[in-house]
Amino acid sequence: MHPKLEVRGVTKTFGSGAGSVTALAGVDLEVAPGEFVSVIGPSGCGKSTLFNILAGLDSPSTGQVLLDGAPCAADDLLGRIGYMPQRDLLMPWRTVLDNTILGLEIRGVSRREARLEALRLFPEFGLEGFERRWPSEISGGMRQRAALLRTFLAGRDVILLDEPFGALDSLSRAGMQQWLLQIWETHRKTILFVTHDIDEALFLSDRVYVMSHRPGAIVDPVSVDIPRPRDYEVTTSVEHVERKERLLELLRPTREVLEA
Amino acid sequence: MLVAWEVGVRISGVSALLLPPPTAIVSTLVGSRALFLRHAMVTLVEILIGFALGAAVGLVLGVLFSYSRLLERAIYPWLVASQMVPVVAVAPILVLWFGFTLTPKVLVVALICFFPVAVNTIDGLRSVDREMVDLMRTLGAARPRIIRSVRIPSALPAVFSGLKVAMALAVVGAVFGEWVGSSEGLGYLMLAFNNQLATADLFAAIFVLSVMGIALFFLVGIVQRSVIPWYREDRGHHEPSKEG
Ligand SMILES: Nc1ncnc2c1ncn2[C@@H]1O[C@H](COP(=O)(O)OP(=O)(O)OP(=O)(O)O)[C@@H](O)[C@H]1O
Ligand SMILES: [Mg+2]
Repeated sequence: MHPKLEVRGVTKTFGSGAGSVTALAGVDLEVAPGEFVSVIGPSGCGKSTLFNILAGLDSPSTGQVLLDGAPCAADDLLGRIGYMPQRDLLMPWRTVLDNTILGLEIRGVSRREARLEALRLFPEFGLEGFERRWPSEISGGMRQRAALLRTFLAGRDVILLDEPFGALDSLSRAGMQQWLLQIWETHRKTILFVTHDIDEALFLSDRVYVMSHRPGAIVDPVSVDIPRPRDYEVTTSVEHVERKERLLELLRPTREVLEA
Repeated sequence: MLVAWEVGVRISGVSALLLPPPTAIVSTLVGSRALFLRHAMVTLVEILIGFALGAAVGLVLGVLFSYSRLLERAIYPWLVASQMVPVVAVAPILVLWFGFTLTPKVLVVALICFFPVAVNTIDGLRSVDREMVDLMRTLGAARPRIIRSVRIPSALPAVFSGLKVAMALAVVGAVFGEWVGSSEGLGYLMLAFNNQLATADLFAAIFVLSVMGIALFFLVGIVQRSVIPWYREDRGHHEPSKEG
């Protein structure tokens, strides 16, 4: 069987000549159908750049992106991959409910039907009672859940999540991680997740890819074979600590660059 | 303050020709209310038509410019230049062409109004959040929908700022248009009272004009709140707040 999503030798250089910036220097990764895979790497290593390419917003300088085994140009990818960018990007002029139905509306579902469909998921996403609020009136965690619901409702099999919990404090973060796993287990999407939090990556993922400091390149993935459903307690287990050490080891060259 | 004014005028013995006491102004307001009302209506019509025309032209220009750099380069300097030529110079010409009719006043008002609307519309349409547009693209949205769902709503707060400035200027424009040549309207009334040294009446006319100006300005604010209820000037929208 094909991987759901595959990245082969993707590089990305912005600009040309003396002022050019190489953001990605050879990224290879694959995600199986229904798998939860994370990419971790230091700030500025090109994670968002990679996601923009996968979502079809940008083209790689070299290399290929394959969806269901078929090579896809940027235009083919647009509209086929669910993407939740680093900022929640809720539209201030739409209520929370109407923000979540954006993808359905674009697909041509009538507003009425779209709202009904969204409302069914509101309790699960912890948004019940806030349907008619403006995004500016709800908390950061709720905004993230609303943005995630918007991504889910767009109905794509593959979902890219770019540091969805980056702006949250560690307590709400832990809660949101457990909640995300539940959501993923009930809806069975293929998820590629970006973070720079090692614990978060290990707790959530089947496999974790490490990206080196800029220009970003992918090192081999670390598998996380903790049985599911997982409990947050696994983050204190011996295996967890061992894996964490391996990841830190993989990130080490990065640190030297930072300290140099 | 009004009391201080009243008392101050009475005890200091300032001539009522220079500064009439409030009671005198109120009594002329009440006594000649039909007169004030009739002339206020004339000015109001000038303001409303001129404002509507200017705002419409401003909006259209703003939209055109933000979609075509070429058009902007070709025409924008001329628009800026048009604002440099004082209305003082243009208004008499308009009166010369159109006589003591409604037209020159409407044109003066429109001429003043279109500019802030055009500039703010351009800024508003340009200030669109690129990432939000990208998000729409990943959701499979085509250009017309992106314009409708993202560009236009995100431009509206700026457009309303432009409309408010325009409305404030419109009042001044209408009165000025009347000063240059007219036989009715609050501006005309003010000139007439001034010539007759009827200071209390002059103050009353100014008062009516101010009330009208303030009301119109707040009217724009009310329309704004119903068109973009999500927008609050005193709050940011783009940064998610931290969960408490
Ligand atoms: N459009 C662009 N033009 C030029 N350089 C860019 C562009 N976009 C990104 N870069 C550069 O590419 C590098 C990688 O940026 P990117 O946003 O992908 O990092 P990131 O890993 O997502 O960082 P963070 O964890 O802080 O979100 C950065 O050095 C950035 O300055
Ligand atoms: Mg990023």
